[in-house]
Amino acid sequence: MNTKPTHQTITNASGPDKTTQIGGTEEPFRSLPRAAQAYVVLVVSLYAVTAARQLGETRAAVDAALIAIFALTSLVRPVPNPLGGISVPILGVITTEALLWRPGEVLISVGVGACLGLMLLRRSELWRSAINGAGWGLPAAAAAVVAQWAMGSEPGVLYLGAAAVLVIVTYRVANTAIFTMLRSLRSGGSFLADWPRNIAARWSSQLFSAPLAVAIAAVAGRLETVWAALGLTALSVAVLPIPRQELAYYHQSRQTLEEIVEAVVKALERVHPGSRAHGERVSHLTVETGRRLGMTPDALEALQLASRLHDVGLLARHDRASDSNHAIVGSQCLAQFPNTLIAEIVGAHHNRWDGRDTPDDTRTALPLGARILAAAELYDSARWGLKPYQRRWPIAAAVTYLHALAGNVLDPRVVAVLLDVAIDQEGRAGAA
Amino acid sequence: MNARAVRRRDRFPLLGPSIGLCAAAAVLIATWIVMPQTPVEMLAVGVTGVGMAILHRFPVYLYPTGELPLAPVLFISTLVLFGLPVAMLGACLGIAAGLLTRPVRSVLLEAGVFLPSLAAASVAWTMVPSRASTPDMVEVAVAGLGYYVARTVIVSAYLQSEPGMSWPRALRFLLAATGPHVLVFVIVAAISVWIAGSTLSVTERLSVPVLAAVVTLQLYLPRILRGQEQRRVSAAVSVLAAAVDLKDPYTANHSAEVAWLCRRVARELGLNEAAAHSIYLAGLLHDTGKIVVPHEILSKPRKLSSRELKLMQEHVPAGEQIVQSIGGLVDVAKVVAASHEHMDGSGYPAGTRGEQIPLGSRIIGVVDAYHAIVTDRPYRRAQSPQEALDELVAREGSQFDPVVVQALRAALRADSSDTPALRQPAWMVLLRRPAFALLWGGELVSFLGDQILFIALSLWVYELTGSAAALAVTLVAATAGQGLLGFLAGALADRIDRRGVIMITDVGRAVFVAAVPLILPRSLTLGLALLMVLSVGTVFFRAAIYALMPSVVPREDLATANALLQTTERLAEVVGGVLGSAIVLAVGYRMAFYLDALSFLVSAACVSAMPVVWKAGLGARRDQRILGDIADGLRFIYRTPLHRGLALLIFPGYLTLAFSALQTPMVVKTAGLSVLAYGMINSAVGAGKLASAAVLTAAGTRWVSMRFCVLTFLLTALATVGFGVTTAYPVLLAAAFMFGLGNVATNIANATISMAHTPSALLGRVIASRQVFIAVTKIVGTIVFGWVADRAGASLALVALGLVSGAGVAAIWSSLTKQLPRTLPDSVPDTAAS
Repeated sequence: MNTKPTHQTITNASGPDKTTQIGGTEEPFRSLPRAAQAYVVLVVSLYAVTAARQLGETRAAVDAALIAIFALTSLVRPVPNPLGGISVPILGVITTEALLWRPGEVLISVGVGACLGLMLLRRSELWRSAINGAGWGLPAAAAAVVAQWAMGSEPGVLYLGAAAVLVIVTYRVANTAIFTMLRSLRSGGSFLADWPRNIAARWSSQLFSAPLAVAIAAVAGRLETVWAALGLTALSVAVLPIPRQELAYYHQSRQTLEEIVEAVVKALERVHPGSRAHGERVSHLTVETGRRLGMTPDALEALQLASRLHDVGLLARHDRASDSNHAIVGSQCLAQFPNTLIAEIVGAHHNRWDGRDTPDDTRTALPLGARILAAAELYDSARWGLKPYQRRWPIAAAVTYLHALAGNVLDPRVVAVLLDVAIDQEGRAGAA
Repeated sequence: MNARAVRRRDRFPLLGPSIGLCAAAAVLIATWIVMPQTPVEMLAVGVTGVGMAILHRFPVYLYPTGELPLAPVLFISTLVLFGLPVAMLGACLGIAAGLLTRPVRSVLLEAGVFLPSLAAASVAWTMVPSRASTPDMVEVAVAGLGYYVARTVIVSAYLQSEPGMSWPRALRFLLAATGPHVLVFVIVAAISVWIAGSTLSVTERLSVPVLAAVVTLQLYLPRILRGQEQRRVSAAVSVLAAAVDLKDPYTANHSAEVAWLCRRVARELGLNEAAAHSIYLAGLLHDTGKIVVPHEILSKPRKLSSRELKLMQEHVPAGEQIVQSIGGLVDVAKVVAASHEHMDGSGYPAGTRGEQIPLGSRIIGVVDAYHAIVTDRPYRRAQSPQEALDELVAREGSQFDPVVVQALRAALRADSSDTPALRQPAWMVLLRRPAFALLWGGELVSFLGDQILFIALSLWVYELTGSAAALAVTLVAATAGQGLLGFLAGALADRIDRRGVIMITDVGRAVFVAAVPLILPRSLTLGLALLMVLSVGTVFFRAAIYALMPSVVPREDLATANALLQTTERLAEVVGGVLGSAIVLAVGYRMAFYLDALSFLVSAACVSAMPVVWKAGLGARRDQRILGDIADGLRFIYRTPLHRGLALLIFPGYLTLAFSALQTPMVVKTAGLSVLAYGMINSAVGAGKLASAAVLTAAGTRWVSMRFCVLTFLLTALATVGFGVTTAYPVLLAAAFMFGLGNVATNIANATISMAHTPSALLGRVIASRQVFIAVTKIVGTIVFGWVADRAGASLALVALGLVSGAGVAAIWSSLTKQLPRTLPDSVPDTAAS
């Protein structure tokens, strides 16, 4: 699920391993490839030249105040985005500035402000601060030009809204272009393939920084003084810590959920050694299969939890033999989750696809998740054994076994996709 | 017992949804009257509806329980910019859209909270005088305040049904939890409205509420996501607890039940909701460490060896470790770690003592032990709660904290005495009986209809004739039938199926009322005749309704039922007056009469749906003439000491009804007060009536008896004397209030006693006779004491009236106490009818 806008930054572009830190000092300028060094110098000097040419047309007092305001945004610590990368929810501030101020002022304040803020408040290296400043400032200025054109002379709320959307689109296009290029120069990777993907990433949450900016611009439009506009810009910065804090809580909650599931898995592992590895393998298989079968993200999340916890019923003192019984016990245990799909999947994961194990009058359609889990469970038990000392089958034997079950115990459509996924994963594991 | 506690939350399975349904219907009807006219308004309704539907999918999660919808932002800004009908219709649309994705019940439940709160916001908003043509931020603030207060009250009523959640506690929690959010909503809405202030273009005005909504959504999105995640975390904690319980077949559901009781005790000890929730979590997880203990030890039926005991005790640090590894639950881990410590330091693992053990751990220690004693264990059978408490008390101070044991005892006692009849107000229990609810609903609608008719009629007649005299004649006509046909109505109510009587009079009145707008403008005389007929219908209706009551309501609840009807009527008098004027203003006279006719049909429908078959008297004595029936009724009253006593008491007791005639000369002439003061004194009488009815409704009137009846007569007499002896305005007010108080209490006591002690077949006649006696007394009293007042002044007349009435009541009562048995008979066998 999307949260706050992710801002493309240098660290985001520098690979997944460093995404949690901005302005880390572990990579000096010297260690960059030549092409990347040249690119950084080029972008920064492009910014410097543009800014110098604009300097004469802006109001010095406004520039100074805006630089100070924007530099303060560096105080808001970034948080890891749930979907990878980091979230610095400052797109809203940039949108506000683009709607309120002249392009030259936006260019200078965002660029210089970001650079100073990163250097002084975040102790970032010079080159990193500079490229971030240029990479934010130039797109912001372009966005401001678009905004001025879109709003006309006497903007109403509707025009402001349209302008805000254009601002965000423009900014995203330019900002991702600059950083995707840098990334492809540093670590390879195709610019043309990555750029559209980066623009489209989490577009809905990007657009969600518009409303507050529109409201602030509308209020400023009614107040009509420079100082009010400055104050309102500062306000848009001042509200930043709140979503940041909430995001942090959100991550903490996700983390907590993960740890609780882990505790349950550990408990199960203690009683039935090997069940943890089994659950993990099964969940990899099911999630990929579900994705290929077109399940929604929510359903996939439920499927993943169900796969990891599908044997929780085994904690009860019953023999392994009573398979369907542990499924029912497990589903009762998991019925607490607000997403009832999880309990449903676990409860039905030992039911036959053709329904011969249930009387006609109680038969219901099995959820897709349960059919996937049933197939994955059987495949994994055949391939790796349920316990460490059990016999493991070669992959070909496991595939034959599943083919034999398809159409009676298992859903043939699911089996076909699942075996594809399994073979892919085995191939990747072999290559690694 | 906790399983019961869990179930208890669903005690009113239909109450919430039905409130929702009623609210939606009321809002739709009210809005339909002032339907949005222009296409722009229609568009605004659509926009608001869609916006509401979207916002409803993203409620703010309140820690530790509950949700707050974002929709008021949209509602309030629409309300201020486009007015009430648009906003209300939009809100209904938004709620209705929920039907597409959610079960009907939950949507109605939500409507039951949401629509009344919005209505309160609207009412608050209408009370702000609009200063200029531009919308005002003050209006937004007032509307927000109205919403906040109303929602808090309504939701706290729901919360309060949870065990251990008292009303003040629920209110405190809600005020603190929702206040900041509502403030944000109000600020956003106020700013948006202010932005719209100068713009006149339609699209701009339409887009402003939407802007307010999306800004709020932007501000709250992270919090909403966090809430969804937190809910999953709580669920996961329960899953972990359930997984632990799986290990030990003897402790199935142990963790959940201990957690419930822990929270209950924490509330009893006055901890706030967040702390109680944290202790609840600790209760859920207190046995987590049992995961490491082998099955054999957990289910061993004999005493454990020291090595096994050591293994068993290992579970506490193991549990702490597991809980600690969960980032969000570090505080809970500390509580779990100390849950096996004893007050004297003899516990394990650390041997902490006294106050150094966290309160949560002390609670868990007590509750865990209690729950272990009252459930079956491998080593012993379950024992009773009382035995368990005794055992805990024996170890107070050494192992357990006495304060916590005390709280547990209080919590258990509160829960066990917590039978619905005692815990719920008696009238609520009554209203849950479908038969009574229908009777009540029918009476309410019909009475409201009467009031609307009254108002619409007086306004119209005055407008048509322009003469006050004509108006007075009309009003007399509208009430004349009351006394004339009482006996006949009673006899008929006993002869025919009472339900039938009610339905026939309802349908008949509906037809006549619908005919009024056709006839009245053409001929005033004919219209007045029609009104006479109508008022006769009312007499029959009331006789039948009261006669039907004992077959619907159990005898011990009759007093409450009577009191509830009185309360409803007093409230309906107030509401009906306002509603009548509003309807006349909004849709004109004709429509008001048609609506009124509709209300009688609704009443008939309610009564026809009542699951009661009344058979007594039907067909048995068809051949007897109706006069014979009436004579039978009177003979019954004369021959039964109780009824004779009651009837005798009526004559001196109800003399005080002449009060209303003497009141005007007393206030205006003798005391020389203004017309305004006269109005206030009238209101004081009304307030006294309402207060008395409400108190008797709420108090569950087991103590209504003959003695009570006499006391209320005396109170009324005293109030009359008090009204006569002074001219001081405050004293007059107080006396008037007291008069109202005593009068309605007398009515309720009288009606209840006669209903409870009359065989079903005679009820209609007995009740109708009572009405006739009262009417006669009132007329006689008014004439006699009116004459006295003319001769000697109102003041003297009032004093005399009070003294005569009081002395008469006292005299009759003193002679009665010799005749009547000490206690009233429990019931009267139906054979007494013949």
